[in-house]
Amino acid sequence: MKRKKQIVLYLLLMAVCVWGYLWLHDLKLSAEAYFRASERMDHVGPCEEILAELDCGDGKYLMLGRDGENLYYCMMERRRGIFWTGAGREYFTRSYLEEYDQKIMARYYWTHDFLFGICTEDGVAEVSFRLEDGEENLLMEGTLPVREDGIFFGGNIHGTVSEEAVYPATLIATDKDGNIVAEY
Amino acid sequence: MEREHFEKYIKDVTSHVRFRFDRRGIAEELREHMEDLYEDLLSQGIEAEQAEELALEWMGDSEEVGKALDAEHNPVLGWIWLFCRRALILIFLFFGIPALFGVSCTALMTGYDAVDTFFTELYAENDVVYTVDVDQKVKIDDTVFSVKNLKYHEDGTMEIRYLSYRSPFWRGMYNSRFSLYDCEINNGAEYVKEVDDWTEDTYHVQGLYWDISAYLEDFPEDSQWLNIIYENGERSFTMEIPLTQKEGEE
Repeated sequence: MKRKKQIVLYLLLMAVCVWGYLWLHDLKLSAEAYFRASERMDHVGPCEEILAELDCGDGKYLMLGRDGENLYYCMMERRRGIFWTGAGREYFTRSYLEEYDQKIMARYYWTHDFLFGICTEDGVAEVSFRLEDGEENLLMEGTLPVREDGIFFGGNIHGTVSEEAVYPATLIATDKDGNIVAEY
Repeated sequence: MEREHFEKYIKDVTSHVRFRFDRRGIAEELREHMEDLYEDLLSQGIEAEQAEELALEWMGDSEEVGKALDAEHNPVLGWIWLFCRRALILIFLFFGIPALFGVSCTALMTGYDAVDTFFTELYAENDVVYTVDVDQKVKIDDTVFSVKNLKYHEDGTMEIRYLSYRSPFWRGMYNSRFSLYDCEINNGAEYVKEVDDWTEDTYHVQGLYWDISAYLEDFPEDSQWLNIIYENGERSFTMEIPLTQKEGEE
């Protein structure tokens, strides 16, 4: 009986040690658990819809969620092989567009080659964009479909990640007939 | 002192114990017990050789004793116990010690800040016109926002002193806290202010909890209310603080 009690005690102590470590270092057991915890820290969500999940390789992972009309972006990375911790996050809201008096805006994360944005105009079917580097050199042009709610996103945009800053220099939103609805 | 017959007996007994990691402990206990018996018999005037034989006889048949001890020391349980014990040592080294270290450092920092704040306030120049003790708190996700008191200063500044800490067993992040940023403060009349990056604040304590003061300039002295409004969908709240119970006002 003494040994059984000791086994129970050892298991409890192991659980406390591991749980305490995870707790204090903001480590979670899955990428989604980290995403949800991150939402609570930023007092957003919970996101009704996970729009995109992307394994960026090298232990990095990103998730893009929709919280009402807004977007919540969270990058995660593996720690010690099995845990997940944060590597950056952003709450991208329609109010940003209002603040900057824009009808379309986007974010491009060059370290993960992922782009997402919002267009507040109705009837937009597609967005065309130009990616430029910090010296305004054109790197590529592309298009992404726009959802009915004005949200657009996509991974593997450029086909490569970059250490240097890359920006979506221009954004042109067009309807299904090709008419320009909004520009940035 | 090792006695040959005793050692042979012990070896016979322990050979029946299948969980070999317990054999040493059992051998030591048997040895001790037999030595005690032997010394006892010697003290009764019995000769050494006879005392040894009697001790062995009183211990009982080695096979019977061995099997009884084996039954007490279940090998399956033994292996589980040993595995758990060694796993605990590794887990404590890799997880427990860093966690303890982290908590200790944070606790020390928190304690230092708290003591420093206490003495700073003790000797601070008192330009407070009145103080209102508040005991209102709100929980947003895993964070508690608790207003301690309001202090109105001679220069027309209203100081909001508040605490922010994680509720027990939070599911969020360790470092999450609530701040007055993005809150609107009004006095129910003409004064309205959006707290932003430019609002002056002081972090008295940062660690296990945050003790923060936010300063609102040009707050009307004759205000009857201070309302804190936070709008964030389902997390929205309004904290209405009456300024009627003013301590220190002449």
